[in-house]
Amino acid sequence: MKADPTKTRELAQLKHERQLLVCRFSPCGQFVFAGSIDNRVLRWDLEAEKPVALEGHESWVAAMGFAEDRLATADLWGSLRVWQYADGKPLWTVENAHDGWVRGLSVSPDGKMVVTCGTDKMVRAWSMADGKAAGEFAAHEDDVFSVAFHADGESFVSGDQLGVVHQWEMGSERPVRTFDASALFTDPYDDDSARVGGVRRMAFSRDGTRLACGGMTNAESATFAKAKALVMELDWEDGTKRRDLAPKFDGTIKGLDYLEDGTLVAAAEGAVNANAGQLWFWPPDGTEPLHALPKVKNVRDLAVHPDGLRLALACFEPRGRIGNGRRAGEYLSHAGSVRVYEMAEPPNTDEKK
Amino acid sequence: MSGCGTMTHRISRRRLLGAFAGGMAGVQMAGLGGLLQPVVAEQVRRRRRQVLLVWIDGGMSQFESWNPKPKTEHGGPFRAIPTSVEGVHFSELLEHTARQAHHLTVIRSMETKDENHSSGVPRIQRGDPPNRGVPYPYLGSAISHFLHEPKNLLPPYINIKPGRGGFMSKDAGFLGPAYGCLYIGDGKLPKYAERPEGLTDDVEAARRELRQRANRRFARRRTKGPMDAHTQTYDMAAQLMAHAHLFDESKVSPKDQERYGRHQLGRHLLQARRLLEAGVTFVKVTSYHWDTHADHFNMQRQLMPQFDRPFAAIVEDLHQRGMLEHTLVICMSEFGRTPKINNKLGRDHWPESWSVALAGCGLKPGTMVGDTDELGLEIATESYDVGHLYYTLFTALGLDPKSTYEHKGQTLPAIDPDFHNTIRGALA
Repeated sequence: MKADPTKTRELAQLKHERQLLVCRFSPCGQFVFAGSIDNRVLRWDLEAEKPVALEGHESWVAAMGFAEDRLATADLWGSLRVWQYADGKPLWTVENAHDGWVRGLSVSPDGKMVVTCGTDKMVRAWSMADGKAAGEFAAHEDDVFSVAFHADGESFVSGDQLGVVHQWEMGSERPVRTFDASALFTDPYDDDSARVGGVRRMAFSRDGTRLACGGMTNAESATFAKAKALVMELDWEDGTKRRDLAPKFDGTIKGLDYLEDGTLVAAAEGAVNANAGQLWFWPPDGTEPLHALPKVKNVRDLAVHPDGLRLALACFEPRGRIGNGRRAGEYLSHAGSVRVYEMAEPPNTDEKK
Repeated sequence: MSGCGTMTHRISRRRLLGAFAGGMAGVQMAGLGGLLQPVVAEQVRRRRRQVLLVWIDGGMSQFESWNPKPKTEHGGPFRAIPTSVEGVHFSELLEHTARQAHHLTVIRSMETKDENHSSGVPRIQRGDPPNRGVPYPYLGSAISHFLHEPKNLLPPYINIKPGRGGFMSKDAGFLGPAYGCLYIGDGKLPKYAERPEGLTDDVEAARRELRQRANRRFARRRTKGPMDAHTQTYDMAAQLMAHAHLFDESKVSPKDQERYGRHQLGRHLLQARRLLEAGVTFVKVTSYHWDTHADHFNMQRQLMPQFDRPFAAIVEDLHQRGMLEHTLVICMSEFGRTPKINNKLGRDHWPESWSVALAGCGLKPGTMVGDTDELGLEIATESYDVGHLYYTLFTALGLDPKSTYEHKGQTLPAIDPDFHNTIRGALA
């Protein structure tokens, strides 16, 4: 069955008591995983509601990726961990994969390598089998926010705070190419005291011909990070920009991927209200979305199921008031959820008589 | 008139005044001369009390600075690091300042009332005074009033800030424009601060004499205050022109520029050190953009290093110069930031439990006063409001905290009598 974004509907809401930052479906399709600000990795069986927690991280779990039966997760104290995802058994840990935060990771298509990026301006490669260091890639001049492997398994890209995207190959000492995504960066006060934006998410199309970079543009201030959500889509072959997908939305693209048919799906966290996240689907050509879901919860990440029909969004869930100071009553941390959607009509259960 | 030759005097009175609107009442201006010579420095050190206020506008998060709570519900993603005081930890974002913690007195038990910027900023900078129907002076103006010596001929209250400069007389409240604040925009002298080429000392002196003669005649049958303020504006301008070297960054050693950092707050704190060395009574340095309701943790990674390095440098430098003995250093905002992380991964305003960092004159160094509970929600010890803080600051400076002002027949307490208690453990 082919996904039909215009039929997108919510299937399930998988709740957690703390906010979530990242989510991914397992390769087998049975589980969805999320990384939380309570330092835990959560695993939900899609047929059950209660998650299993994988403990071990000591800071916010901000990145994850899969290779066959293994899950790689990384946190904001710089550690990279790999687990056997079906039973949660920890396999290996690199405590100081980066000097600072690990902001993103990507696993190679053959499952043998994982590349990580972080606030130390570095990109590093590690063996998925045992965590041995396999390469170091230095060229960025600011925090590196995201990495993504190309389907060819040879190339990967890294995107930073300033909107610089470098292409690397394993063993390369210098970037093979560099792309300009600087529209995703703003210095709102024009004095370098606050850098807003960055290449927050990247994704390759399934056929490897396009690279999408998502974030925000034209930030007005650092206070509310009020900016316009933006996806820049680049042509992989010649490096030129194919199109800007600018949905006129105050917020930041926090989740990005392609469907099998080239549809680009993106989700944003809104700049103002808790309920002002949004989800869009763009056809392979053109700049108008073929479908949008307004007023989803504020989104922190997006993942496409291996079946190509389902999506997971890591969402913010408010608990109690949002705002200054304290009022009478309990003071509860806000929560999170993974909301699972299906891009298809519900099955017809009526029996023809 | 002799001395006013054919030269076109390019700096008109109005243009120079443009940077000093408001004027001041009479304080003689002749200046101390450049950086202090050692003998003079020793004399100054013995006599003078000075204040450095580092104003973090918008609300510095206590979690990401003075009172970290890592691996707790609201603690955020950063680590805590040990400081130079055994058993005391700061956020990892204060890597340099942590090494100067033995000079600091950090009040971790501030509990104040105002969660708004527009009312909270003037409220705390005025010491949250009692409501007596008059606008109280900001701390800089108050300290100028109580501490400034007439023989000190530099402006008593200077604020180094981003953006434009000027003269802010309203900081002085009921004290009047004599105690207003000279704003130095981006650490630079105002435009037209240099004497035009070709204008000789003799001509300048003659112009000044002519102006003063005209002013005396004008003032004969008029109220003294405004005239004095007007005169003061010119005198301040002349003083600044005579001390232009204090604002010349080329005179700063590259080593100091590296230590403080070449970014805006680094340059401004280094500028502040130079003004304190020259004898300015009250120097305020303002830093903006701290009101991080969204993307807070990414922004802390950028903002805190901009503060950490130069703040640590100036504390170290003041200590090494023997100036911490007579200089009170204050680092504060209008409030802290919420424990609860909001829908945009930000922190909102939080006056309920937050921190102020102090150092120097009259304080007990290497001291953390009070604490919050393990989640950072509530003060777990005795809590202190703005009035207590000001009572303590006055005491540290050797001022009588029960001092009063006399204003139009009204006796006004400098500090709200409801808060006439020092912060326990803060004073030496």
